[in-house]
Amino acid sequence: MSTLETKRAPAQLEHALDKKQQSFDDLLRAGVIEIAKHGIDRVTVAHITKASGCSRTTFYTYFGDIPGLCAEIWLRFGREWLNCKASVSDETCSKREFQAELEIALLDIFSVAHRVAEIREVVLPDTSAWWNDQITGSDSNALSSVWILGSRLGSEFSSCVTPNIGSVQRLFELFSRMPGLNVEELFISELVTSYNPSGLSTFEIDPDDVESLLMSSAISVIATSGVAAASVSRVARKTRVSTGSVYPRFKNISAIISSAFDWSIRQIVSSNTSQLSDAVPAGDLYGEIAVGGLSPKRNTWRNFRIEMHLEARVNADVARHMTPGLEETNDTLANTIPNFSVPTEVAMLVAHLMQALAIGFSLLHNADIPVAKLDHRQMTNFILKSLPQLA
Amino acid sequence: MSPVKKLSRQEKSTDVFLRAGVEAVAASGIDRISVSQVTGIAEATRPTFYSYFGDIDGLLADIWLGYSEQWLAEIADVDFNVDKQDKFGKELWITLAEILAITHRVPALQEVVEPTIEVWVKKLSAQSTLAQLKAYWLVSTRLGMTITQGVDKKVSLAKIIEPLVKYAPDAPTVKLAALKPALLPRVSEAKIPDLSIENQLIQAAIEVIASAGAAAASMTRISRKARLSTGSAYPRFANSAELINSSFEMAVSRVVEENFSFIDLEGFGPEDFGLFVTAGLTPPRKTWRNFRIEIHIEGRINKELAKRLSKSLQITNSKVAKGLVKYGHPDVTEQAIPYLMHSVGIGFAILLNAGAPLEKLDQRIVTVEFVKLFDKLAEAIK
Repeated sequence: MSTLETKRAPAQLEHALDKKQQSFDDLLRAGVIEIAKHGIDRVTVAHITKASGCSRTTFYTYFGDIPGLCAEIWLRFGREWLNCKASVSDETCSKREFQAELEIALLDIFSVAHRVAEIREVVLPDTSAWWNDQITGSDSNALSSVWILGSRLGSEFSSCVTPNIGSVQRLFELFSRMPGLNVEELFISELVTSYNPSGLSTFEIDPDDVESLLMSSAISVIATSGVAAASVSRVARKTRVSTGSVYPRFKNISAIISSAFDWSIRQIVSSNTSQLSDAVPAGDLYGEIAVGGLSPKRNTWRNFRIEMHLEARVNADVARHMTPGLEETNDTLANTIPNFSVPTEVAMLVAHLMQALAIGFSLLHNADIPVAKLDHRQMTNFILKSLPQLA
Repeated sequence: MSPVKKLSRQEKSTDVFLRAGVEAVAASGIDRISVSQVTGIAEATRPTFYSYFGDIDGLLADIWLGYSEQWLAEIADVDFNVDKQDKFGKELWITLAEILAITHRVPALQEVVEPTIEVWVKKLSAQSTLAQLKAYWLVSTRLGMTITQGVDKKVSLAKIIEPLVKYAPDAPTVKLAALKPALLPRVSEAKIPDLSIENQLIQAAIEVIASAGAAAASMTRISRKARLSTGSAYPRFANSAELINSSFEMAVSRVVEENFSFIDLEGFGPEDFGLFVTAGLTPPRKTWRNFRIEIHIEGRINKELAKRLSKSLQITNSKVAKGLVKYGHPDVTEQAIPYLMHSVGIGFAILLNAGAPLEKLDQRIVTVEFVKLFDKLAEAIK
């Protein structure tokens, strides 16, 4: 049990009748299940009251609104979830009757925390406490923890678009064997790197190219507010054109979003692959890519990608549309690995790891965990050395 | 809006909604207007509203796109006469100032407001540092006055910014030593130290209001943020309004106390004013800056809070005025300059959130010139 539960419990028991506590718990549980079913941006109060049998009034009294409910779910279960997801085996997690739904709901809640103040204000104190636990002590395993947590969350988040990405779990045991580092080794004071990630080239769009302007606006709207908030009128407004000039080009918002994903992932992949060079030792390069992806220039792209995955979990059309782009990216990545003379299977595993980490690190970065300041080269070199054993 | 767009029948009725939106914001405050209020004023149906704007944020974004260019031209024009505005003009200033003030927490507004401000800032940056500073001070003071006028009418005394900007020279008359970070007063977050349950709740209220506005500060949310049950909040505060009122008094006393702890009133010179303004723009004061904006927005539509805000403003102002006694000219220094300092502080906080690079400018350049003009101002007032 987290300390939170014990801290909150007495006050609640003292002041609330058992019956009240019961309906609070019923709503919380129904909330978890309905978020897992509909997705955090599409779940409604009606879904939850219907599933729990409680009235809307009760819901509003306890939670105020959906973000309030999410915040309460996090307070009850979040810290424990964070610890269990950062362990080599998540067998350590409690096995509640609705555990599967709970883990999905918590991941949804965690991934929108950066854009919903009411959720952020309860999540960030926990992530910051978790991080402090990782770096206390002389030789810290913080790097292992961040890699396990990042790749696990990333792989769970991506499983709707890349079903076999769960194989990265095979690597967690390896991460945990990485020797501890002291604080000077753990952090990089200044990033000296040959890798210079470019952002999406939204500023280079020809002002007459309305199609690209609309896609670029859709990407920014989704990055800040989620797919559910993206409407034709909002995207048109951001682009400063009338909705009348959208429809001849795209038949609806889904069409803009799908094209935008293809358009942007191609830009990012080609920018990334053009940076791969033999000039830098490979072990260092992969570590630099891990950090480079977190550069402020990539903010929009990172958050756009998170939101697209969030949507893909509850929208099969979006998932279907994302898969080819991601597969192509993985093939490109996997093709860079054979230099280390490992079998294709291991190369693909590493590509999946990179895919999972890209998402997972973005999530941790949004939660103010200083992933961008860690010297990931320590880990990438360690992994490359161990690759032959993996085969 | 866009060259692609033609003036159509739809656009005419969009305009009716925009005007209705402005009227609604002026009457009820930016965080409290509703779709039914707007459709009521516009005498239109809800489906029409939803098909045009999607939601209230969409309406506000379109109000910004429709009127902000003209408004920015007015607010940056030192000869523009605020007193001669008609009712709609006044309401428009309030609405646009409030939109700008909450932009940082509403992505749907951010994406239309920031590009406008970016263009304006870029145009300004072609001018000399002093010219830029004068423009920022004029706009910020007027912004702060607009946001404060619902709380304390006397804030209109800050209009003294207009002659200041007019009389100030085009190039600095004094050469200043380089601005080093070490010169700035080391302001802190001014957090409440004593962690009694009351104070934990008050601190949580300050943080919730700063990030989401007073309208979002419910007892449930504040107690959750403090990680306490609402059961422990209610015996201490009857409702969130009471908690919000107390949070303001606590926050202001912490910040003012800290600010004045840096000040030696005897030796407080024109350059120190500039340094103080700059220190107020640093990251530790972010929560306080945003809290202060939000609490004034709330104060405009909450009379009880307004009374408290105005009372505390008088107290702070009289402290500021004490530091100005040595310059003489009580007509200028007793009220007008303290109200100006208040207004510019709020306006700077708003512009900083919207992307204006205020923290990079040396504010001493302008405060030094302004203080030199006190004689001339006193003369003009007579």
